[in-house]
Amino acid sequence: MKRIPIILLAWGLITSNAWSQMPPPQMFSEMDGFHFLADGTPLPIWGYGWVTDGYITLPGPLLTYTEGEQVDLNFTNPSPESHTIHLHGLDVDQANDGVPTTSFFVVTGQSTTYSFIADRPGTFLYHCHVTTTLHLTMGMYGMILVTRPDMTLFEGGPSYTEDVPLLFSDLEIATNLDPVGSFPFHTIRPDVFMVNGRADNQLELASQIVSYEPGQTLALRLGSMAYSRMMCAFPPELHAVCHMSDGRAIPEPFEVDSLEIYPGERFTVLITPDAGWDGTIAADYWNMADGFVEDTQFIRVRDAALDIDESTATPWSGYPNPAQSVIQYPPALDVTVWDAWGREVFHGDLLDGQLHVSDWSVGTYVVRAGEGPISRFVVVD
Amino acid sequence: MKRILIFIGVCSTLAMNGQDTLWILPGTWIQGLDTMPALRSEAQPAWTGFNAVIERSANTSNSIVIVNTDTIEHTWSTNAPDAAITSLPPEMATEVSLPSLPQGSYHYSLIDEPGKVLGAGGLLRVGWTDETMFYWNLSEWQPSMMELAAAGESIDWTLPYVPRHFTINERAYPSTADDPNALVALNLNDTCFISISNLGHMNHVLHFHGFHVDIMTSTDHPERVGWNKDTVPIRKGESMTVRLVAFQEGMYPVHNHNLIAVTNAGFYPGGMITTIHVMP
Repeated sequence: MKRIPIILLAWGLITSNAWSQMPPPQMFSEMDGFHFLADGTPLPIWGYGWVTDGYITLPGPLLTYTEGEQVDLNFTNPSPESHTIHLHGLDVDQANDGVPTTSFFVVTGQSTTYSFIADRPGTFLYHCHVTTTLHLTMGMYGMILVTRPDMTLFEGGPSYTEDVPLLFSDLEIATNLDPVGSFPFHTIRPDVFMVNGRADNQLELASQIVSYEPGQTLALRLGSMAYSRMMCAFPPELHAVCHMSDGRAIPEPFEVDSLEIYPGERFTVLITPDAGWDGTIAADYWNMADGFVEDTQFIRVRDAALDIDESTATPWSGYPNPAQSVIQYPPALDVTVWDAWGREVFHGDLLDGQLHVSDWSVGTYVVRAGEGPISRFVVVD
Repeated sequence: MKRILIFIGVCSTLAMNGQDTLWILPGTWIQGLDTMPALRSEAQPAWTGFNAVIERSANTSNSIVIVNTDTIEHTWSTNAPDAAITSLPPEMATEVSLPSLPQGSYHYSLIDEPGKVLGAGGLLRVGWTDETMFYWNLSEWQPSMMELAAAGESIDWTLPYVPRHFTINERAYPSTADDPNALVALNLNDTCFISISNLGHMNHVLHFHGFHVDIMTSTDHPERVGWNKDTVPIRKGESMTVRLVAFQEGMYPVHNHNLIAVTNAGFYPGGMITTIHVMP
């Protein structure tokens, strides 16, 4: 019994030391990722990811900070071209603004730290500001949330129970397939329209459905990195009230049934849905030049107590990840695996759920079971 | 020409303050490798390629003389509430009344099809004469459409609209740096007001780096007056005034966040970009 406190003390010293020596989170950029469209087609993307994950995502990772926090955002760029991170709406100083001509480029092989104080709560964005027209449509963007520990939107503002980031974006397939050949840039017209990087049936996956408990108030963090103008329709059962725009409180919050969101704008809308409700927020994507609706995506909102189709609810991921030899999945038929360039590297049955990767190249892979959910894994030495 | 000069002589005493005469001038406008026919509402009878700004006091009705030097009739109006529509016969001077307006930013333009496409329109600033002011006349240009308009042919507005040039005060970045009304140069802690109008054919949205601005007036978004934003939509035909407090020094871009509009004939960077320069 006497030894236990000693062991605990020793463990505490070890862990506290280990914690203090843990490297801070580090973002990186890459230009060899890919993203699955709703029909299963892999599409090349450029983007951001966490170094610890080893892969980039569309959109990039959600960055979350607490109001008043001193932020040091570490960024490394191993990709073949220069990139930056522009902290859209955070009003950082010139040095940390992420504009190559007035701040600096982060060239290939270089690392840097963007420093700022997250002094205002709200919804913000980040994106690359190098050849912005191209780098954005290729996927180099994400959302930033600055929140308060007391779960109020801002000092003296309304309280809520959960943040729901909803980032609208779009891309042009031809540009992503051939970025060099995408010139001239003023002719870019998106043909894929997304919410949090997902579209169409992907938005029906359980991970994409906005679930709520009756009486719960959710903060929808709406932001747009699209080339389109958004028009979102909020059914009356959501009791939606708009409280903030661009990281600032709106002087007079208003009940909202439709909300126009232009590229780069953000809004925070609180919803308190009726019990038992299952419906959608329709998001129209309007062509900015010609003024017509190009597409509509539907964000599903449903009472958590309602049954969910288990085939879409079960996340499909393997263990361990990263892996050296074998990744264990739930047993599945008809599995397809693509490498980071979108090339199919495996197609077959995993009757025992084991995917053998010991002789595979190091890198990021995407795996899909039939027409079901997608997950990523990394093969390491 | 003789009758124009006589008419101007009669009308020159009618102007109340600010710009008292505008000249509608056809000319040739060059952007990069594109040479386009264009129309401008100039402050003098010689072509410069830039539209004039009309300044007026608030809550005072007055008039302005418009000399249409073009060979076709044009139609002139403003986006002020209940604005009158005035025909401008070719090669004639016409006195146009400007109604009493509250403090704000508005614009005038030709609203007939050739006038609309060829771009003779500018800011009408009311009641801001004593403030530190800048102005941004936003527009975009499709040369093929301008050629058709100049030739008197009708425009098929159902065809895809693919503008090649995006401008602030008829300049595209980097030339916006040469315009003291587009480049916002301030000292630290200065406050300025910027009049913005969208005289183009599509909606625009401006993102301010480094700053949020207060929306002071808006013709299309009056419910947003008092909002503090870093990304500001300006609908087609809309005018607004924003206030900027230069709380930090440095160089910060302001640009259209519809990113096809930060290009010149497809080249990045270009188009609708300007800069806020705050000196210590």
